[in-house]
Amino acid sequence: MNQRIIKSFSIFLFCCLALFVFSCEQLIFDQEVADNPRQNFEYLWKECNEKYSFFDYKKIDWQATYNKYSPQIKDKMTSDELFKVLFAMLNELQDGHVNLISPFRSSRYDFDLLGPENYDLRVVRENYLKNDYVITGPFEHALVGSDKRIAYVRYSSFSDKVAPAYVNFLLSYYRNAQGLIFDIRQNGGGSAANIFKILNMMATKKTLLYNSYLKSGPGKEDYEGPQAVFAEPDKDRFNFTKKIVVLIDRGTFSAASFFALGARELDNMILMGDKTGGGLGLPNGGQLPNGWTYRFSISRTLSPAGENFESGVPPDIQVLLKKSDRDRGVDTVIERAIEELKK
Amino acid sequence: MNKTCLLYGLILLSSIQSLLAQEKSAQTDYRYGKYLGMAALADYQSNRDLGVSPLTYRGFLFGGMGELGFEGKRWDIAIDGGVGVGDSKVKKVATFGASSTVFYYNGRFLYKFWDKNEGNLDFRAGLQLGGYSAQRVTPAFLNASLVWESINTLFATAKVNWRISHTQTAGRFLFIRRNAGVRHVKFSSQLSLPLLHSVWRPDYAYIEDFSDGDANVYANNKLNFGGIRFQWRTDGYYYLLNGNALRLTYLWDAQRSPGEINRLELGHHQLLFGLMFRLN
Repeated sequence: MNQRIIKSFSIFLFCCLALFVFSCEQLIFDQEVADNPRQNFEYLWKECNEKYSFFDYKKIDWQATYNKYSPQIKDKMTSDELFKVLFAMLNELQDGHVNLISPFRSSRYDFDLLGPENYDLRVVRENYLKNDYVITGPFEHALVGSDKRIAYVRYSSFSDKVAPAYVNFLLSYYRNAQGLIFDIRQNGGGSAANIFKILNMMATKKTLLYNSYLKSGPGKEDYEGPQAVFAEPDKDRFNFTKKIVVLIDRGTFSAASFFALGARELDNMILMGDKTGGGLGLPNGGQLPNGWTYRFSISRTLSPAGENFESGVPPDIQVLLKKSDRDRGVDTVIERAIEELKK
Repeated sequence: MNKTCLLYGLILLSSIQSLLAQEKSAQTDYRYGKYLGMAALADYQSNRDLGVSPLTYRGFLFGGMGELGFEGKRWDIAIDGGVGVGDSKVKKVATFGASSTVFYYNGRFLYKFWDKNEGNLDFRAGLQLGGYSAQRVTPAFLNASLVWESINTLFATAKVNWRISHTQTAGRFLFIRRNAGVRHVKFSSQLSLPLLHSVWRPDYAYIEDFSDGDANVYANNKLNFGGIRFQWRTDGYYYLLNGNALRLTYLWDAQRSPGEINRLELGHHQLLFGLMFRLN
C-alpha cells in the first residue's frame, strides 16, 4: 500500500514538474516578432535608429525618413516591393557599409560613383606593370618611370591576405629605388588585420593612427572608447628610408580607407589622388523577422586630431586622372607620384 | 561526423563489456558510492540572439559527457562536463544556418534533509554551479557572425531520489546473460532555480574584425549579472550486478540573459544515455 502511494505521488510530482518547466520556457522565450511587411519595416527602422553611428555626422533626420517611407508599407505588398522600400530607406544613410540581402536580391550604396573614376586598370597593366612585373602574395609590382628608379606596388583588395614577409621582401627588393608608390585605388577593403601587417613594416616609429569608438547604447552619443590604434615598427622589418606615396580614390573603401587614414599620420607617407570612399564605421550584421539579412555601421573612427572622415579621407595632394592622359595610356596620378618621389 | 560515430561506438562497446561482466555478488548496495560516468548526448537546442536577430534557431547537437561523482547516505557530490556539436536553422531562412560548439560543465553539492522507507525515498538539497560556453557561427549575421559566450549560474537545487529493488531470476535477454540477484533501480528528479545568473557575451553591438586589426572575438564581450535560468533533470538508473549502472537522463535547461537589446534566449533539451562505472 505504502509503495503504491509513493509510486503515485512520484508520478504526480513528475507530471507537475514537467508542466512547470515547459510553461517556464514560454516565460523565458518571448513571442517571435510577426513576419509581415509592417513588422519588418518597423524592426529595421528601429535597429538603425538605435545602432547606426552616423546620423549626426551626416545630418540625417531618421524620424523624417520613417515618416517618408512608412506610408509606402502595405499589408499585401510583395516581397520585391517591400525590398525596394527598405532598400530606398537604407540608401538614405549614404553608406557603402549598408546592405540588405534577401534570397533574390541585395541592396548596396555606390560610394565609388560619388567622384570621378581615378584609375584605369588597362593603362596600369599595359604601360606601368607591363609584362615583366613581379607577383608577391597579393602584390603586383615593378619599377616604373623613365629611368626605372621608382617602385610601383599594386594592392587591389584588403581581402587578399598579407604576410609581413611579403611586405619586407618588397621593401628590401626596392632598397635602391628612389621611392615607392603604393596603389590602393579601387581597393574596396577587406580585413583590417592586413592594414597592420603592411603599416608595421612601413612605419619608422610607433605612431597613433586613429581612435575607434563602438556604439554602446541606443542614445545618439552612446559610444564606448576611444580605442587607440597604433602602428608599431616590426622588429624584423627592412628599414626602408625612402618616401612612400599612397594612391587613393573614391573606390578606396573600408579597410583601405582605414589604411589611408593611418598613412596620413606616418611621416614617410604621402596620400595622393582623390579622397577615399570612406567607410570608417565598421558594420555588424543582423536579420529581419522575415529572415533577410542587413548590415550597417556601428562604430566611428576619428583621426588623432578628432576629425571624422567617414565621407572620405582626403589626399595630401589632390590629383585626378585626366581623360587626355588616359587616352594616350598615361596615368596622371602615377606620373605625379613619380614626380613627387624624384624631388 | 566520423568522430561522433567513433564516440558512440566506444560507448556501445564499453556498455556491452559491462553487461557481459555481471558476475559479482549483489550483497553490497551499489546505489551508493563513487562512480565515473560516461554518456552519449543528444541536445535539442533553441537559441535566439536578439542582438542580431528576432528569429529562433533550432537544431540538434551531438556529443558526450563525463561525470565524476559520489553519492552517499547523506551527500551527493558530482562534477560533470562535456561537449556538443551541431547545426541549427530557421525554417524560413533557406540560405544559412548556424553551427554551434557547446561546452557543458556542472558541479553539485547536495545534502540529504529527509528520507523515508529506509532511504528508498529521500530529498536532498544544496547548491549547484551550472555553466556552458559556446561558440556560434551564423553566416547570415555577416560581420557579427562569430560569437563566443559563457553562461554561468549558481543554483539552489532540490532533488528527490526513489530507489526500488527486486530479486531477479537467471535468464537471457537477446545475447545478454542475466544472472540471478537483487536488482536495484533508481529514479531521481532534480529542479534548479537560479541564485546568481551571469552571462559573458558580446555587448550592445558586436563585430568580429575590429579596426585595430585584432580579430579578437572576446574584445567586445561583457559580463552581466541578472536574467533568469531554470534547469530540471530527471534520471533513471538501472544497476548491474557488478555495481556499474546504465543511466538515462533527460535535462531541460532554459535561460534568458539580462538586457533587452542584446538579450540571449537559450533552451536545451538534452537526452543522455550512458554508463556509470563504480569506483569503489
